Amino acid sequence: MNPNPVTVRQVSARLARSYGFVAGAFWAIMIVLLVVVETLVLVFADDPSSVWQGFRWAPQYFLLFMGVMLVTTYLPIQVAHGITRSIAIRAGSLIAVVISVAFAVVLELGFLAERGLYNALGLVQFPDSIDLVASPERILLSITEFSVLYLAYFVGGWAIAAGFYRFGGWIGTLMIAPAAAPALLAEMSQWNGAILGEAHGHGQAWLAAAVVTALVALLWIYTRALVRTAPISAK
Amino acid sequence: MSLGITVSGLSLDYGDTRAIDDLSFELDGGKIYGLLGRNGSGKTSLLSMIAAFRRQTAGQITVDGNEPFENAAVTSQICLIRESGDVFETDTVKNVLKFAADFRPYWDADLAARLVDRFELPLKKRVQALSRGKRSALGVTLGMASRAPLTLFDEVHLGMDAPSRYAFYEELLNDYLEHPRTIVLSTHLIEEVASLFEEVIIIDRGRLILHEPADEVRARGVAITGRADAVASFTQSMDVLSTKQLGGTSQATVYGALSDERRRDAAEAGLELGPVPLQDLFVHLTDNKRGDR
Repeated sequence: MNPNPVTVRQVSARLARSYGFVAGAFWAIMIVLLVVVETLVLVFADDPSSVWQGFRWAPQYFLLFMGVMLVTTYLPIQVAHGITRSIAIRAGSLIAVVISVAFAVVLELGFLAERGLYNALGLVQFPDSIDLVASPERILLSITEFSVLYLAYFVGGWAIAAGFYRFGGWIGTLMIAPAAAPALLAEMSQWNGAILGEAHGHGQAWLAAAVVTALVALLWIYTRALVRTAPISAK
Repeated sequence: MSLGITVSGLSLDYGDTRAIDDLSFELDGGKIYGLLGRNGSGKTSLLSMIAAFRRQTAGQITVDGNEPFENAAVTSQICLIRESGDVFETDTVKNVLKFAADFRPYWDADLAARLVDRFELPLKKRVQALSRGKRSALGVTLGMASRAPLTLFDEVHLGMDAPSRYAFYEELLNDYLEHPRTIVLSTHLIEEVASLFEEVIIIDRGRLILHEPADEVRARGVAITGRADAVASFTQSMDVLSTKQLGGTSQATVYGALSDERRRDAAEAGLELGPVPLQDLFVHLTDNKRGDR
């Protein structure tokens, strides 16, 4: 018998297995779709450009959904198995950061793989927009930008679900706006950052990433406050 | 290992509605308790607070001397099984058991396997595809195999058919005798499970009505059987809960213990005295229309 209480490490490992499996399935579908669409574009388009660029939107909505699941699916079951909300929050936060960075890295690896293909075919990957794999520095900036963007979506989903869980429909709906704010700002800064990045260097993009990170931290504090005392109602 | 519970001045409000109202009692560790109450009496709310599913509005709960809410050392020792089930709906039964095994520090895999076999739980089937009875059996399996020092069953066996329910009672009693712990059973099927109770707690409208050893509760009532006219005469000034008549014989259930003198009177009148089902006493004690208890 092991009478010791559950640890953050145990809960994180279980979440990682569960989310890892779903995330693996997600990326497998993404890659299959990429191969199909990329092939069609390269064969039929007059001026082909990065297809992966168009796929970059999908992960953020997937991560929003994962954030929602932390409250709607996992929290009641975790508490029912003797796990405190505090441990569940810490494990969820760790997973949010790891999975956001991992998704950003996979996305960037996709751009790099596509770059190899376009170079081999003598095509330009990003004819009209910023080159996301132009240099090691740009790759690092892109990974950071996408990590922050994805984290904003993940924590946004978590906060939205916590709002509905605690306050119900009306207030929960009202709380969507502040919960979505960091993600929207991250989107805007990424677009602006791309333009500014070309014109004035990358400083503006790093600053935007820092601001969004600070807002995500505030959103996390709000989410933690809601989840920390959340009653676990019967289904 | 078994844990005692102390509840002091406990209240819980849902908005303007008071679900638990200044409740106080003390439960020793290592006993099987029956928690009885009508629908909406506050049984689930009370168990939820003990298991740290929700925080009280006022008052205090301690389990083994410690507040359970957000206390990992305590919550790991408590297992509350609710009828609604707190498992992943899309997971298989096997994975649900695996999850519990990962997080329940006293998990007994052998017991879980035996209960899965006894309740014929399909390990590869998803929870959402299980019948209500099988879901209940899964809940019972999780609760028992957790071997938590404080195990709380909230109406968990209601969906099970009679053979499965009796299997549950048998398994619970046998396992409790081998591994004593504190068990609280909340149920509406009082008579079926009454023989398991060592103590009974009855709550109504969030207030404590009674907390006594089960035998003392049963001694609060008497069933008087005999000639109809003799029974009617004997019970004339008593609090009669119910009367049944078959031909010239009738049986009256009365509330209140009989003195030795009254028992002698009954014997002289040719009346037989017997125990009253706990359920009848429960109905009487929680009958709000009667007012005075």
